Amino acid sequence: MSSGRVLWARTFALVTSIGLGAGAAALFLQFGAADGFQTVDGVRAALVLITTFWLAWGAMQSVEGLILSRKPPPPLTTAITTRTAVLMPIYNEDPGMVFARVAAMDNSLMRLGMSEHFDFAILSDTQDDRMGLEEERWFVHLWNDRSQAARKAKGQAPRFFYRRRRRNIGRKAGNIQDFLETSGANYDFALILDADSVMEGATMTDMVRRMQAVPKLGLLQTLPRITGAQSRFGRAMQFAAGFYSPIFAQGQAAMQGVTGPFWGHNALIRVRAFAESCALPELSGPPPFGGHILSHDYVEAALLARAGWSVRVDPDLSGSYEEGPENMIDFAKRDRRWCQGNLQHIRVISAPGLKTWSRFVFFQGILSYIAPLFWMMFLAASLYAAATAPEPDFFPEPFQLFPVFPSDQTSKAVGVAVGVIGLLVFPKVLILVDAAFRGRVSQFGGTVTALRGMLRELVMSSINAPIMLMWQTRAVLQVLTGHDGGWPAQTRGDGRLTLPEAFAAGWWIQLWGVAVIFFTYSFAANLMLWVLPIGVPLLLAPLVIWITSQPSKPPVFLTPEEVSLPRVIADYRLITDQWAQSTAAPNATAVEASA
Amino acid sequence: MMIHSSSSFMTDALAVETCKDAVLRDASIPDAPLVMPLQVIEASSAKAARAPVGRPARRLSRLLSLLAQGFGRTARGG
Repeated sequence: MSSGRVLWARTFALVTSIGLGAGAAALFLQFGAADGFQTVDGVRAALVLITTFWLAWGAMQSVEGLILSRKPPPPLTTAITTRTAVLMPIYNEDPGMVFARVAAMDNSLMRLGMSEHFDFAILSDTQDDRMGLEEERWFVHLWNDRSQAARKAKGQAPRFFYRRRRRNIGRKAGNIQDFLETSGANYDFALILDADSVMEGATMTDMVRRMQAVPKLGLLQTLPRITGAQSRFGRAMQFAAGFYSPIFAQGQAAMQGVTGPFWGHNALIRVRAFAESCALPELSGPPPFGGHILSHDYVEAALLARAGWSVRVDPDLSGSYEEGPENMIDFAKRDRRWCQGNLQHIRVISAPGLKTWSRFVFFQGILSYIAPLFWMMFLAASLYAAATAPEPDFFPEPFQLFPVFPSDQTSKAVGVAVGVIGLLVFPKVLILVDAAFRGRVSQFGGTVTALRGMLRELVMSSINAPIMLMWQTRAVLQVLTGHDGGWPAQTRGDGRLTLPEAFAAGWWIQLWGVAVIFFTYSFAANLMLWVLPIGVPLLLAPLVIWITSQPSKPPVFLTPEEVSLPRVIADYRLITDQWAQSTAAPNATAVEASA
Repeated sequence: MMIHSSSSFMTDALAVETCKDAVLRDASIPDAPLVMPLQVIEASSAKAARAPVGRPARRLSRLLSLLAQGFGRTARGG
């Protein structure tokens, strides 16, 4: 994409977002100051400016995604002349599942006759020795399954590697760095995955060909689709990721140009470029702001761009998959980690030599977690303003014969509220219309099923949003007060919660719901209707957490991957089942291999 | 009999362990080192202040950079 087009995309989004934010703030100021200007009116207008800007910025990404969407380029058929290491960093994961994914991806490459260009390296950071032994047992099983002993007998080098670090210095970024420092010179490219990632062989080879074609390309990111969700929450996220994210990603790609993102996995790196520019230092001082960089991926993308390499996201690359959290608690745990990582970027935003856009990306990441605080402050300021509003003075002049009624500016506040809701809903409606027009809805069960999915997702996200707001606010406050969230392992499985589990996670949110409703009723009863959409979900938080974790079945939230299961995922599930039956004792196969 | 079974079990376990060790040895990641120079992320503000000033855009960029560094220092309580 040309730099002029990128500049246009950025300017258009920025000017429109600032304009909408400023317009909303001006309207709200007129409403707030109708009974005389108070400081709190200025504060509320400023908060409206920031929050509306942020919502408009998100909406502009979808608008630009729709306007600037381009036909995917024709597939390259050039010969692959490079070697790629497929890196699977793991940390306290179920090894059987992880290695089954590796086997499925290898099968996919073998079907294309391309497996000789790819090696697989399982990079374990598992700190639990018992789990480490399990990994070793399962790796022996994978080794046998992939006939590596026979390969060795023919004098060929193995294609599957396993390494476990006893100390997980630098966490995932340190794990990758350790591999590159030990074995990087063997490879041109490295495909970085997560433990739950799966990719089609055709996608891997396509990425390699694209990387070969552009020598300045340092990193190529795919847009992974969420698969395998089983709960209401998980399937709603899966639907949203499948239906909306490609459009948002196209908008992002248009704005980012060659200063694109790295999301930490399902991305191909040029080993030399990454090695030259991405060895991360520890930040001075203790966590949460110092120490190892948690959200290393954003920083690595910025450092690649600083060194002159292109970083690109290609949303048209299909066949890239991951799994998502199945319930709100797991989502909040992941969000806590991301929150700390993004806020830590306050320290990185000033790194010397970064491109302005990279700094802006850090700013966006920080704002995405601080924005909930602004919403909370707006709610508090509005309740305060309503509780302390002066009584209307109908006779401001002495000896006045007729009363003067203060001008009613309520319609302006309603206009701002409608506009804010519009910014949330409008992009989704546009995407649905576009999908219906282009026929993309057929992959989601047709227009009616997609519309049902959209409406249900809107309702669910409206109910979930205040609860998420509370978790995010708590996370931000924890980080700002110096609490390190650590690096908990990800939870996998169906994510179904019991009511006591949901209550244990959500009781404090429920208390806040009671407080908000009680305060509004006591001091600002005229705002009750506005506050209920926030207060009621808070009040029902444990119930919402529990209900959304329960199983969900199609056709609602139907995704293309549920309509037609991708080959690599079908293969992964088959292998998992076969291995579960045949490897109750992986030791047995180990003996066979040694014979 | 019990002694025989026990010793057979131990022999099997030993064989399995030996095999596992051999596989893990063969599967150790290749030795092909690559140097990764540590990147500079935290720069002192004095260094930024000494940087040459050029066109207005560069001045603005430097100003933003200094502001951002101030932000960073505040975050680490410096």
